Amino acid sequence: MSDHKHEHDAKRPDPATMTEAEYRDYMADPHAFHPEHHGAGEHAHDGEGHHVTSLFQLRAVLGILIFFTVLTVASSRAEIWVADTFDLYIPTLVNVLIAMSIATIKAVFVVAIFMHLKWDNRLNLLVLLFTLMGVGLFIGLTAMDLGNRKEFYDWKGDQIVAGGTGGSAGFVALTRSARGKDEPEVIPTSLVEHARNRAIQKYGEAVFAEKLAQKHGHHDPMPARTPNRSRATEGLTADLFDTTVPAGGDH
Amino acid sequence: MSTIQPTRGEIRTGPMLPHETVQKGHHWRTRDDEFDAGKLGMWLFLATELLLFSGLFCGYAVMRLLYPEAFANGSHYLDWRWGGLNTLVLLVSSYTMAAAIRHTQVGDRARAQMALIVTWLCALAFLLVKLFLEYIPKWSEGKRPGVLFDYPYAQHEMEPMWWSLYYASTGIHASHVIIGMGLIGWLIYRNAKGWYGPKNYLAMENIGLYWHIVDLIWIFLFPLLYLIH
Amino acid sequence: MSTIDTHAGHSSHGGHHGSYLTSKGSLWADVANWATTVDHKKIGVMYLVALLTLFFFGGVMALAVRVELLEPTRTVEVAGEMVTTGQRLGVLAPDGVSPNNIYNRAMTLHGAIMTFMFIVPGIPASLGNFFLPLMIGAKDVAFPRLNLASWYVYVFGSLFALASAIVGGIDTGWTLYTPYSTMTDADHWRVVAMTTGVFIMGFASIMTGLNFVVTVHKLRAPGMGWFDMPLFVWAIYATAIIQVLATPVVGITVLMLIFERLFNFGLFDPRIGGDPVLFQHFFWFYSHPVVYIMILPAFGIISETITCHARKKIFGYKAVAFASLGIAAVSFLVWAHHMFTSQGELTAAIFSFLTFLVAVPTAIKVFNWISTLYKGSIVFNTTMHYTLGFLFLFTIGGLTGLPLATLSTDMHLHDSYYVVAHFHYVMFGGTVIAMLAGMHHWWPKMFGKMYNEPAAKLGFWLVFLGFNLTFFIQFIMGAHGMPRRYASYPDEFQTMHIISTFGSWMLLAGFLVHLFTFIHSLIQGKPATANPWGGMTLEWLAESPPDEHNFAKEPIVKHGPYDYDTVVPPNYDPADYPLPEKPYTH
Repeated sequence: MSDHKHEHDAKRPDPATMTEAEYRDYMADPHAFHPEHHGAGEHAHDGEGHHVTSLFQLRAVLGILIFFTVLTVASSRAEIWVADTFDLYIPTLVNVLIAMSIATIKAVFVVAIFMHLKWDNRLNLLVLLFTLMGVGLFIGLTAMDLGNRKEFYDWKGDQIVAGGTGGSAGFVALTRSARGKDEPEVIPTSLVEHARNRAIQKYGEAVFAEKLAQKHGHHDPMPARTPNRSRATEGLTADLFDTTVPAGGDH
Repeated sequence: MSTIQPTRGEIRTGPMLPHETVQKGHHWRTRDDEFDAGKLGMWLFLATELLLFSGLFCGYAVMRLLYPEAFANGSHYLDWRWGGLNTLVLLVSSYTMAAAIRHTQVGDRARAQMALIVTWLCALAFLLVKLFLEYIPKWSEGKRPGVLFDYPYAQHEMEPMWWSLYYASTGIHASHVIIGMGLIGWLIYRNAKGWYGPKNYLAMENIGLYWHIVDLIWIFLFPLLYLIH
Repeated sequence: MSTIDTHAGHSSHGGHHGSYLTSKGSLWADVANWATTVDHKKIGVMYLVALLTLFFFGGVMALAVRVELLEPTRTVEVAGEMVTTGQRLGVLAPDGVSPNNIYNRAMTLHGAIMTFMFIVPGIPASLGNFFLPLMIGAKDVAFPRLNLASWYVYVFGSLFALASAIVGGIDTGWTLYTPYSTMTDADHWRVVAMTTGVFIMGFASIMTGLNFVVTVHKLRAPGMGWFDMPLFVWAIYATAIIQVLATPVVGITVLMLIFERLFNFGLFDPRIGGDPVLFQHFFWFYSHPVVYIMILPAFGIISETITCHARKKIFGYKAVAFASLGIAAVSFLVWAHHMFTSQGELTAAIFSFLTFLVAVPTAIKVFNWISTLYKGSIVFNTTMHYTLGFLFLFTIGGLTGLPLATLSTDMHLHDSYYVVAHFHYVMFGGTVIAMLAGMHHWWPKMFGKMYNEPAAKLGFWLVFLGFNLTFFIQFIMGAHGMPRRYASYPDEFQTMHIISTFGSWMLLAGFLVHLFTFIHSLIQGKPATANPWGGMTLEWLAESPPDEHNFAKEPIVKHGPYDYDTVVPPNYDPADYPLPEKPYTH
């Protein structure tokens, strides 16, 4: 396997210190000082020296990946089961950390074995690490900004609210039924409310309530979720639509 | 480090296969240089892929921080069983891709071809599950992105945002799967013609790397979309 | 002093295929040959032609903007004329288009063309493409076909973007900020076309960057270690890293923007819960590093020209080389300084601090260049004029950036003409001036012809003075409160605007002179020798213009790129270009 690491530290011969004969030699064989290309014989030139991963290794990695997939699903289901059965709520952060750690472990196996990075040129690993650093900076600093709008001045915080109201007024509807009309249909309310109003118009209050109950009615009302606590349920946020919690979420 | 010598190939008579006669490009000193350069180029391209998706992950992270409840609701709309199935399908295809490269390295063209075809079929299965079991039912229920949203039973005002991110991230991922299918199909065709062998498998290696990155993205998308709540 | 004839590639011993410019016979054969070429030199020239064409369009837009600003309220003559012409041609709606609207579109097009289509690909794709392989002694870039594809993708993307201009243009500003880009101009398709164009051109940028990184890693000539590379190569390498790492983010940004525009996707729209500042984060995560994509190659050119034409070894080679990488690294940490007025205080404070870090490697470079000049045998040719002009203008541009990096002063200066002047001093006074320096430095190598030195010098003085006349006054205007991007302004600013507009005409005159000298040189310039300036880097070993395969034999590197104090370039004939007395002594 050729190793280009050495290419850079190859000591350059200094023609200034050579005798005339040495210098002529040197000029006649320009590559002689570059042995990792030409001195090591021809066998290294055709990719035969590259690492061949054994089938056993590949299958073992596949097994590991499937195991971790099952594990991450199981942990997610277990959390819901624990919440339902024991009324025990595990903080969201734990949930996120477990899922992301497992995903990272899986990713490491894919990158190291399937993508041969374990045996590959270190430079490729460096490319990957730099990229991940860039990704981290991007997501981290952006999220930090949008999560810290009220950090210093309260008066300014009132003016800067991350995200929007979700009020959605003023959109031109793009649904199929709306497209047929001559006048563009402008959505007067939030998109969610608009969809609901349209359904009520279509089915009538009673039928709609029945349908809604079919969708969500079997869920027990759960305590409202806080940013620190996962609301691990099968269903959806009960009554959230009617509460007066501002749409900004955690404000 | 075990290196298996290409002993499997029997002594053949008749014309040389293309992969046995491939020459290096005129501007390269050695074929090894060419191979390493090709791989480095591919890794740089993979870096751009990761950064492309990082925009979606960033949007997801920010919106999740702002509207945790809408996102919790969102993940409940998705069925982890289909997501899990797709994860397994992609993992298997990743394995077969890696195996195809290994078979090519040791000169076993027939098994490599088999592995490539399985990879291609897995990709197809992934797309079919995505399309017929996820996109079409959801779309027809009105669970659509942005202003197209028309789901009357939504429980949180920010759910259209969830669907926007869901469709954007899985859609861009699916487009990568489609491109991957094209590339793997090309590999199958070329492999049938005998283009790939122990001395010439850079294209297969690079497309393999691409395919693994597609898998890698899904490894993260699956828990983010289906499991975290 | 050793005088080693090191030059295996010297062209005098035959075996060459003729210059890359040699005609293939018929016109059609030539066109076919150039359209399908994978030769990095031809692709570089093709890029240069495309870039200069777009520079011309962008420049016309700039002149239109300046003319409009001659009068405080509006200039009916120009903008009104454009409106009626547009309506007559049927590309503008008969109503609802005011001269102000036209002004907005011209301003947007100027910005979009100059940044996305001219200055970002600018130096790396043209001069970089041509000289990077030559300077490291390679026959070509690592992936020649990808290189050609990059040119086509670039042209295709430009046509996409220009199509939006032809059907009326967009008025969002080149930054495409939401909600301008999602809500103005009821016609979606122009914004969609422009953003699609930007998306496509991103691919060209990535292809170029990827190619150059691999080329530098894998194709250096035997004996050329990392610290034997010319500094232009270092600069292009650092640029290429940024291109690879930053461009995909603009890809996803404009993709989201297209979704936003077409389906009101919501990520950047507060009505659905999105955040317009999020768009700014997305956009500047790309577009700030891009500022260094624009300026780093310029630094590289200056390192070449200043050593060659001062006949002096670069002062602090490693410092300059690492400063390039340092700038590339820091460039990813400072993007949010474009949003000091719109983001949270915590982030603003952090980014303000990080922004000051950029000054460190940049100042290292400037000080090292000045130290290089010290006791050098400076040749006052056009290239050196431009090099010194760069140092002067870029220093002004850099120092005026400091008040913008300071949070408190930025609150006052943000979105004023001060900012406009600052980035024109950096982008025009830096990049374009350096590109002109590079073009004059390498013109004989690229086309094998000398140009008329006195005429080129006249061009320099027109450009230099015109530029300062145009933009220096804008610092004062901005500090006095003139906001950028406005078509109308209070009467008190009129004198300054008039001065600025006159400056822009002078600038135009300077460019016309250069156009003339270049065309004149192509038609009846004196043939150039292989090494008219006595340069030490490898590209001067090739013929002028270079052979199709660059070097007759693979060159071997046996001296550093700037060893002017110890080595006499063998193919250099002082009779071609007389040096000052005692050129090789300290």
